[in-house]
Amino acid sequence: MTLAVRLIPCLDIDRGRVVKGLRFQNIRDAGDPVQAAERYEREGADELIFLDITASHEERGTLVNLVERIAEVLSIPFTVGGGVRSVEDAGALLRAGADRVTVNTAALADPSLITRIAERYGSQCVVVAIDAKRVEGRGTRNAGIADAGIADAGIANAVAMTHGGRRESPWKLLDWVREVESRGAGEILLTSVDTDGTKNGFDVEMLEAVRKATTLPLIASGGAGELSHFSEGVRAGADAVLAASVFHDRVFSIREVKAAMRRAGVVVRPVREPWREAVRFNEQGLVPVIVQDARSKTVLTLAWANEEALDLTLETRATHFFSRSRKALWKKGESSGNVQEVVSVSLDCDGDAVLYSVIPAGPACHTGALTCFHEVEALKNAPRSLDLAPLFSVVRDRKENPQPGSYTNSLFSAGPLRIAKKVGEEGVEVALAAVGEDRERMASEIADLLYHVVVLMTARDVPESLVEEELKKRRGQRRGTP
Amino acid sequence: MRVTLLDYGVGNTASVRRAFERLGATVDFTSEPERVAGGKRIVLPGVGAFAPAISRLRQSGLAEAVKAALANGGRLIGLCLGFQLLFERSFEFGENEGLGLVPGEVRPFPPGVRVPHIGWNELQIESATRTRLLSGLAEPVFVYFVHSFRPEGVPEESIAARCAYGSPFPAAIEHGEVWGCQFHPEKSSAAGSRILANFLSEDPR
Repeated sequence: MTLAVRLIPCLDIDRGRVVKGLRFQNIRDAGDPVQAAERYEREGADELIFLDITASHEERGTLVNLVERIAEVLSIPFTVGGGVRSVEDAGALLRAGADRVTVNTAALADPSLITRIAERYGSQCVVVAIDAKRVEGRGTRNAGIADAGIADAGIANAVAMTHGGRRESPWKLLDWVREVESRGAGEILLTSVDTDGTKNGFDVEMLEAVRKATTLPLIASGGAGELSHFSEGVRAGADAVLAASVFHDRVFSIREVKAAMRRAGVVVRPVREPWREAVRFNEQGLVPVIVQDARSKTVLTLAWANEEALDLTLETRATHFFSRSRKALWKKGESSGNVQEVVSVSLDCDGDAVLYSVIPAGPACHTGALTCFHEVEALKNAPRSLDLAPLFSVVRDRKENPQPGSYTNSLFSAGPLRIAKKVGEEGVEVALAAVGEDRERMASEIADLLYHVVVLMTARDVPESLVEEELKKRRGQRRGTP
Repeated sequence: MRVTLLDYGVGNTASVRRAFERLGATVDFTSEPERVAGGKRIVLPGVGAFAPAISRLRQSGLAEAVKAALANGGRLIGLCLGFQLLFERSFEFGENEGLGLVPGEVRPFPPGVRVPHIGWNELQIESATRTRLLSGLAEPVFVYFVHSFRPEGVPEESIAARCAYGSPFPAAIEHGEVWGCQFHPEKSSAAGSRILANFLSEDPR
């Protein structure tokens, strides 16, 4: 058994906040690091790295305070770096709760810093961050007999950069790698400046070259943009893979990346969220799953899932079930195309039933009906609130699949201005009916108004959720007023 | 539940304290032998070297206090270096006597194995033992290790789980009311907090 390959989200920190941006450019605030840290652990991150990108001396206190707050909530190891210039700087971060510190620019200026921190706190506490870049026209093609195994002259001539990858140091990359190992580093965080931000994948060539030069654990950084990139980094020799923007931007979840790595044969620590442990499977290893339309709230299906079906559903966001008759796993919509995209999962208070809220691509029932539940007896007129979901779905359908002679389509063709005018007219008619007509007449005018509002919203791409959020906000504001 | 966390001046124990607090426990971080002797849930943490740790435990009277607590019906858990201190002796930088609460010796990994063993590794849970320490964990269970030495010669019936690194070694033990983990449950996310919750638990499951 080998160690699991670690998946490490990286957070760039500026004045105590997470920031996003391509290495010092277009930096913008992306939220609270403590909240982000909690989310990443919950989603299955194996470790976190926080890099203080401004790293000014005046801000050290802010950083130490932040590290304390992060340590308060995290129960996975985390590494902090950026501007560590002395044993004292490292000590302050470690005492605040960091498991490791990274050193970079200051170590290039004085490599003894690595040894001094390692002797004081142990090698396992020292991660040397190396930002490396290929440099043209330096040395000869066969520079360095020591690098004989490496075919690419570009790598042999790559240099370690300082100041966030902007300035060249006098150190050749591979010489620096050997130097930090002999100085007592515990791990290397290798960022290729050449691939960082490209989303074209890790710098496989550089990783392979560094892997040959050292036995230290190696973290690959810079360039991850596709699910397949992570296992490629591992194949190139990385013990851990790091990414920032794909996780910030929720391009991928940590769960998805780990699933892709596992499928590629990489050993990863499985993602086990606390709620997942609470699911109670019956004697057959199954749990009932209720599927509900996220928009209309219609109950669509009751089906069964085993552990595999549940995990596959979470990984792919498409519902998977276990057929009790066929004793086999199946994906909803596999043959019909009527897949169900899961938007949220709820767990019964006893843990013995699961609810998926889904956006269905088509009917849920094999009979072609929207839901598998068909009313067989009405015992009482059910109390209802106004449900616009069916109207929205018809109007959306008209927009996507125009039909000849459709009034809705004639409105869409006439454009938002025309629809807006209709909304105005219908509003006036509702008002007139309200003062001079009976309830049935009023209901009819209100129906006209709502229909035209739905068409207008669809024409202008105003999602229902936006209106819903707005209404929710107002509920909060009005609380307490008569 | 009240947890007595031994303060004997080794390493950073804040993460252990916070992990128990997240589980709703009240943590008594103390170096007073009398308070330890009366504890029902005693935690022996530790990061660093074996020799100074065991000598501080002895000099402070905490070694005796831990034994008194066990005699009074308390339960003890040793974590990482605290785990290694539970055994009879260690061969880290010379030979040193341990607390001797559990048979076994702490020795380095065999030559050729990369140390420290650092990172997430899988527990091989002894299903036959049916431990309380590791109950309720969904396999595979990965936990976080940082260490260069590990115990040998531990009685089979006391081993709750092994971990294969170099060769399989005892990674978690349950020897009566003396429990221990070579790994860091406080750094092992949900699996780790379940293990600490099991330690706090009143009823044997």
